[in-house]
Amino acid sequence: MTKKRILIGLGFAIMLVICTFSVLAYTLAPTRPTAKNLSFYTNGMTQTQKNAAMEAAYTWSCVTRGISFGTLGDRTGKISFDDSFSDVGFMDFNVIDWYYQIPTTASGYCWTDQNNNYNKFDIVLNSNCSWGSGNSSNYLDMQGNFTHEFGHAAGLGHSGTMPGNGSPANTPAAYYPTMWPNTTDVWGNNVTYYWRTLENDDISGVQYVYTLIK
Amino acid sequence: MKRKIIPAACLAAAVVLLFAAYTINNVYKDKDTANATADISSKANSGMGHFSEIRYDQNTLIDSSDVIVRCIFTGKKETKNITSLTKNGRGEDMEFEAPVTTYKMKTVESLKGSVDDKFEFGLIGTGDGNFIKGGDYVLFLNYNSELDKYKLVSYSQGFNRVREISKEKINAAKAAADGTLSQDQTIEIETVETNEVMNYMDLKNKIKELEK
Repeated sequence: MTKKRILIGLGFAIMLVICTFSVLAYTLAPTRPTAKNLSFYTNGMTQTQKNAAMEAAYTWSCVTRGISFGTLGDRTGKISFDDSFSDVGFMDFNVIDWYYQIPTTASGYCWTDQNNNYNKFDIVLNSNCSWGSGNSSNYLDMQGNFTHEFGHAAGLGHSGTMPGNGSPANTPAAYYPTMWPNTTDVWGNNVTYYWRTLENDDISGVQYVYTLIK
Repeated sequence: MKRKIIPAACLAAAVVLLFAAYTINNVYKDKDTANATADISSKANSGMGHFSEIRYDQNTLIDSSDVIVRCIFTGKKETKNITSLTKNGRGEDMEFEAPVTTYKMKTVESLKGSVDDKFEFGLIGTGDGNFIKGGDYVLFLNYNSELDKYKLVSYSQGFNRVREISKEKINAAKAAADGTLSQDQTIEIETVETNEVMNYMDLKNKIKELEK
């Protein structure tokens, strides 16, 4: 009876430790926001593309405990990483990539900037990829990919975590964190639709980021 | 009395372990914060980029690469802003301006394709902190002959650091073989982004197999 109680107690203690250590999976970006209000323009997008971006921004705003991603409206113009506008849009990476040396496999890119008293970011998705809305092996989910990129704008790096116990049957695409760096899991399943939903790993990370904003 | 002491002892142990975990957790976070703060203050007018990328299986990654090269970063790099024309989400013409950094590399060994003893490749952004002067890397590259430019096939899969394998792995490998290992068998490559590891000899064999 005594041994049983000791074992139960130790088991409880070990579970507590495991739960605590589970939040170490996310990573922080080297640069991060210095303001809690991150406003952006949707730039040169169709209404469907804009809706996907807005939903993605709202997903993060719901969990960050203090940050808000807000839209300033729509504009059409040059996207520049060094200007004062935070732009969210699409671009054909193939047209420009040899000048900008963007990796061949890139589906999206987020630039975060720290400059004086304002804070800005730019998000562009590669219009050369196949995009759609939903869970399909034929296209990447727009809203999901935007959610991933907004995670970078919120100050997160990529998560190296593979939740579950590592086998395809037990680690479906649905359990990959939004901040996983690839559009598929290691078994080739498209994860972009599931990027729409933040996992505990993503939420813990972004909530920690905002404790750092003074 | 004993019936009260044991549960109390278990509870006390749980509290101590939880406090230790919380403290260690915060040490990692503080280190992260210190590094990030230092990084922010030293890059007051620059920024950071992050890609999301399509993932290739290993065969496709190798087949898609024009060049796979083990190389050393010389420490020399150059950043400049470039403006060019692209199409926006509605298919309209749009200008795009961003910094690009060119890294000067020294070839150690070409695993696929041919590359000069010294070559350059570029990456969008103002400078990637994962490139360390003297660092040993294996890069999977595409080559544009018209522009004479190299770029990464994939950042998350094609940007690898080289390292020696652990003594345990060496001992295990020697025990399984004839007691000796080639130099290539004693090193492995690890992706900078996701820490996926592959043996250098296995990579070379895979490349040879696919080139047949």
